Amino acid sequence: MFGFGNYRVRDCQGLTRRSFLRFGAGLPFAAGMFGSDHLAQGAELAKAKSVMMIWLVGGPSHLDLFDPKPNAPAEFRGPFAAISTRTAGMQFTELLPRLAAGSDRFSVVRTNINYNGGHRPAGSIAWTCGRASDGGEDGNGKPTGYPPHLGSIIARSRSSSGLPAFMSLARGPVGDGVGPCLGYGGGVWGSRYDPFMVDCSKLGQVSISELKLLDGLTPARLNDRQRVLGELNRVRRGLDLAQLDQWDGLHQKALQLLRGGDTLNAFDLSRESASTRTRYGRTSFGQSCLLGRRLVEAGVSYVQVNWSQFAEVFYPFSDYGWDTHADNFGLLADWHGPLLDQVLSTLLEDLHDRGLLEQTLVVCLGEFGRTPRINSIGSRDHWHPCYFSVWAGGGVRPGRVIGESDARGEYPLTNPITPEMVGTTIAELAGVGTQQRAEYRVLEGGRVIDELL
Amino acid sequence: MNCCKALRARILIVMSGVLVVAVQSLPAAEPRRLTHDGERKLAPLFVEKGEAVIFAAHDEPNRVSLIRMRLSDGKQDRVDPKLTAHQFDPDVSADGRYLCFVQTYTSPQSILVVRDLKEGTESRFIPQEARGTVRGPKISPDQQRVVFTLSDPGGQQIASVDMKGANLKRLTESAGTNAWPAFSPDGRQIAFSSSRDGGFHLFLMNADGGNIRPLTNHPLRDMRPAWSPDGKRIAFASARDGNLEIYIVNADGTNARRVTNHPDRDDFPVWHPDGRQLLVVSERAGDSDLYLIDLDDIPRS
Repeated sequence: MFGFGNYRVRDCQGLTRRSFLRFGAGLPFAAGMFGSDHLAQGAELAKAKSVMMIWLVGGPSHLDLFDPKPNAPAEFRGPFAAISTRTAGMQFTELLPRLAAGSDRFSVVRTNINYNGGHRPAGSIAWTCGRASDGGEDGNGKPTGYPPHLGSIIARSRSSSGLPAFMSLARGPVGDGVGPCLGYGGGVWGSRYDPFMVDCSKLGQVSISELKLLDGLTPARLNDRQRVLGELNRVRRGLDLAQLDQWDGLHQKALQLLRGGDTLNAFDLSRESASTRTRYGRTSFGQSCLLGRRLVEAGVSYVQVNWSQFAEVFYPFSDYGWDTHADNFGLLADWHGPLLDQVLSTLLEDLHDRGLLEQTLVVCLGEFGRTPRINSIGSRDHWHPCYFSVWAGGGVRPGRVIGESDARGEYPLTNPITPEMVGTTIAELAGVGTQQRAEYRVLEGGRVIDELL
Repeated sequence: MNCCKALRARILIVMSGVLVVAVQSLPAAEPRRLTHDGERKLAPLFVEKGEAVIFAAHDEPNRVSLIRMRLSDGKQDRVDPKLTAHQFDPDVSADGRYLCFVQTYTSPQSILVVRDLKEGTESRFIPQEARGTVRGPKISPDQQRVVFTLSDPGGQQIASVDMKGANLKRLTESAGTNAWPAFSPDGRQIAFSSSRDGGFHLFLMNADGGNIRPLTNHPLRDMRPAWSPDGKRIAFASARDGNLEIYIVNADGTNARRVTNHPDRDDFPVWHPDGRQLLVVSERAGDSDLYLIDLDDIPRS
């Protein structure tokens, strides 16, 4: 045996497929030295036609959801009891009874880490699975200093199905009170690879803010090709040179939608049965997850559903989703816990029932967790050294708990799961293999989370 | 109705000579749905002798508002149509003179507002900490104090102020989390939920914070206690059967029994002034709506 970095690789019986992936991911630019057969082996992992990222912005408390510590001291454990799940040896808190009952459909990682404890930098790191080259969010960085978002990477690797390949469901860019996370889109690749932003209301009404420039254009009217082309030409005539670049992006996206034909029906939630819409719940987050499922069905490669200030609001200190510096336990009991339990369990059940889960990778996480030690006002603050993520479908082996945190949930006891590892695993499962990542010069230094597969 | 009554029968199971008794007290009648808009709701209460209700609803994308609904025709109006801050957790004094509620202040702080509807004045209590919060205020029956959950230095505790928002008294100083206080109808006791011993259990204490003693002790959470008008029973929400259901327990802690039995969430119980009905927020039709439960057919033991 010999060790390569932190990971052991067998050398006497040859490289196993998984160890090859680890090795290859560790040396992305050396991938070309292997023949195409090796790369073909790596492609065996590619089970996910689409990826759904359920983004819990703000930092959900790992101790109060997926990693309870019932035996920790009172100043750590929180008030929510631990309940058994369908997965042997895995407990959730009592806030998640439906997910506990359906835990055989997904796996949970309990040792995610981030490198930063601020929303914007941590969010950008989690989305891009890397760090900015220009100083980042805390150093007055710009979007162009960031690696591309994982959705941009996967979208670039796919041929277009008609609809934009990377769609983000929220009312606007997701961030905090200072501004949006800079790693939201194409980054160093440019705005051409930014996500297509879609807003879905709690009533299931869909609007596309980027196309509001086109007077009267709604998703329902996108099928009117002549009207859209007329609007595009009218807008173009009214633009000066400085605006032309922006217009080009708009033009491309509008034309892409036009080419979508019947796939535009994906935006129309009224085509769902009343019972299905009710199962997801009449909230923006619930209806956005339903819209996400429809977009996946229509062939969109990467859909990010954002639980954000734009998706769910209760009162200002929860405007940033799960950023529960105050009243963490009241908010989770009243609002966040039941809502997440209902919507995420429904989404996984729905995807499974439709035969879509096998080909759809669902990953649910935030930028970090919350302090295991309860703060002076009885709540929890930011905590990036250890938190959780939920993985389902798309080649992930369900019903497992990956990694173990310490007795207080403060630090990983087992190998920490880095943002690079999250990104590499998603990319591999979505078919962006070692060689392609090397060509794109992305996700350097990551490795597949072998235990998930 | 008959079918439902049949379902209410007690189930006796004999296993290997050991008598296992599973008692299920199911409501004889289906809860009556009062709202159909499906907007997220919380903390309802009866006002105007049971002829109207006030509750908080997520009625706009970026707003949680207090809504008053007339029960005779279901007509709904915002309590403060022009206010832009969020309002929630309302309470109204028995004579209708005072309205109190929680209002967002400076993010991420929330404050207590006590409105004297007779004098047309408003008093406030603002937590000390910039991120401090107030939740679940309840006006004492003698209309001298307001008790609430205070998250401020010292943790999440039960506290009270006078009707001017002054003279703060901390009624608990325990480990864990304390929440959802409720005065008994005679004003001498306060029921609340606390995790001082592990999970959320119901406790009672005297109105001055003394003589704290447990009322329930189930491993899964019991929360949001609400006293019956005669002071003999306490309704509460509990996860003891998996998802949240409504229960009633005698005020001495005996005879806890389940009122609702539905796979979706039933929460926020409050009593009708006649003591014969409970108002709850339920997601039994998928969305969040108000339902009225007739207790006449619910067994008392």
